[in-house]
Amino acid sequence: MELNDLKYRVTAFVDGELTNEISKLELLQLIESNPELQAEFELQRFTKLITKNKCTFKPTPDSVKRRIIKQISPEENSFLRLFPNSKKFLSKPALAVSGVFAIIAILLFLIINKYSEKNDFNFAAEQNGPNNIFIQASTNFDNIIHGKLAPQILTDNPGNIKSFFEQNGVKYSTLVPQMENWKIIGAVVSEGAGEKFAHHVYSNKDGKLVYVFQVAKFYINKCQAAKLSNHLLNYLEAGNCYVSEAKGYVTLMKKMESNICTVVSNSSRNEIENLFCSK
Amino acid sequence: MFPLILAVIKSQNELYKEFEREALPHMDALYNFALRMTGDSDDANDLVQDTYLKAFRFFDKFERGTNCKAWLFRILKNTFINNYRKTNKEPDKVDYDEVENFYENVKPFSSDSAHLEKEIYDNLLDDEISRAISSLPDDFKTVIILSDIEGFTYDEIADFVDCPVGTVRSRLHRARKMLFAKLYKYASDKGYVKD
Repeated sequence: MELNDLKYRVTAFVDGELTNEISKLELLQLIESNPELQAEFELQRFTKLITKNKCTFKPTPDSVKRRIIKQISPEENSFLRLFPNSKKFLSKPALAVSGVFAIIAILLFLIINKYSEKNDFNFAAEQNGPNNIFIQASTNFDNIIHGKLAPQILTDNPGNIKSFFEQNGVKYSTLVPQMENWKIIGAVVSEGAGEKFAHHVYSNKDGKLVYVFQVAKFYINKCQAAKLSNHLLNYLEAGNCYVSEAKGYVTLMKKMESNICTVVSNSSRNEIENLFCSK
Repeated sequence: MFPLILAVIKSQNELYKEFEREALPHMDALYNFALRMTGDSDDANDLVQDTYLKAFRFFDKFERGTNCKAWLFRILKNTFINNYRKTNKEPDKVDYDEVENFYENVKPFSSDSAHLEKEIYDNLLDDEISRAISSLPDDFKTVIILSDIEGFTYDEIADFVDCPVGTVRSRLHRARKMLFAKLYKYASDKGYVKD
């Protein structure tokens, strides 16, 4: 076998694409005995490794994600997709009048249908069980409001909060952003299924609270204490912000860097969306 | 008519839900590939958006159980060739002899290769590595990204680049040597490794 052919086989070996077990063994022996093949093996292996580990990875801009979802979401454009030639149709006056009646009938139908069918984005209804992070966040916020859960550290310094998380066993990287008109109050580290999780709280001058529970995406549904419905997880993974309102609180979920963050607040929905969804 | 409309809307909703589950999670991978292929964030934004709109339109044609990510990448490639490369530039023509000469001059790994590896790995910045990949000819850049970053198999890459598996293997082999030469040169220029 020619040396060049052997070198190509070394590449396939590095990529785990050498399927023939015998030639794999033979190749290993050749790599060990031939310095040129050994150098080839090292170069291929190293270049693959450095590309995989050190190549920069940028998330899709939120604006692009939102634009795409807006254009394909059935809630946004059911009518246009059902009737792609509607513009041409309505440009003819004789058809326009009957067209308008038809549109009204269809819209009425869609409205009725919308209320009778399950809301596509009503992910809150899918979340259940004490280990679900959406449920945990709501319960924790309820406990904070009623004075049953107090911060373990009181500080308005984000650096101190992050150090507190690290020192108390939170293994993932945490985000403690500073937000205009909101002051950090303190933080809590909770434990579940042998893992530690980060929580922190903000307040504003009106006494409203924002509570943030962040869990590394890696833990979701892998750790028993951090469950979330796959449907909602996929929705967040796609860069969406999910917001729901219940019991006078706003709950917002968003993937921020590599964490899934659940935010609960008794402030207005608009304000919470502006704080967390616009970033 | 109403039951018919109801059925169409329901099937559209189900299709969207499936698309949301199968296709949307790959958006970041597509965006990064688009960014590397176009070299421009605005073009990458448009390319990803066009790809997803096209993919959604033809999602009923997607063969269930096959690799959705690979399917999306193929749509992106075709969109790139049809809409972007045409208006921007012709693809890089790879002179394989020149590549051969280029990487034959690379200092081979020797007995101190572990030390050399460490120097390059520890000192080169992530951006420098990304820049080195971006500067590779399109054919080489594509196979490196698909194999080493996106984790596609040789079969999937062959399907993507319309080449036999053997060509993918040899192209990948050369691409890595060329990339290594560039990384070595960066490291050498910055004094991280001694010639």
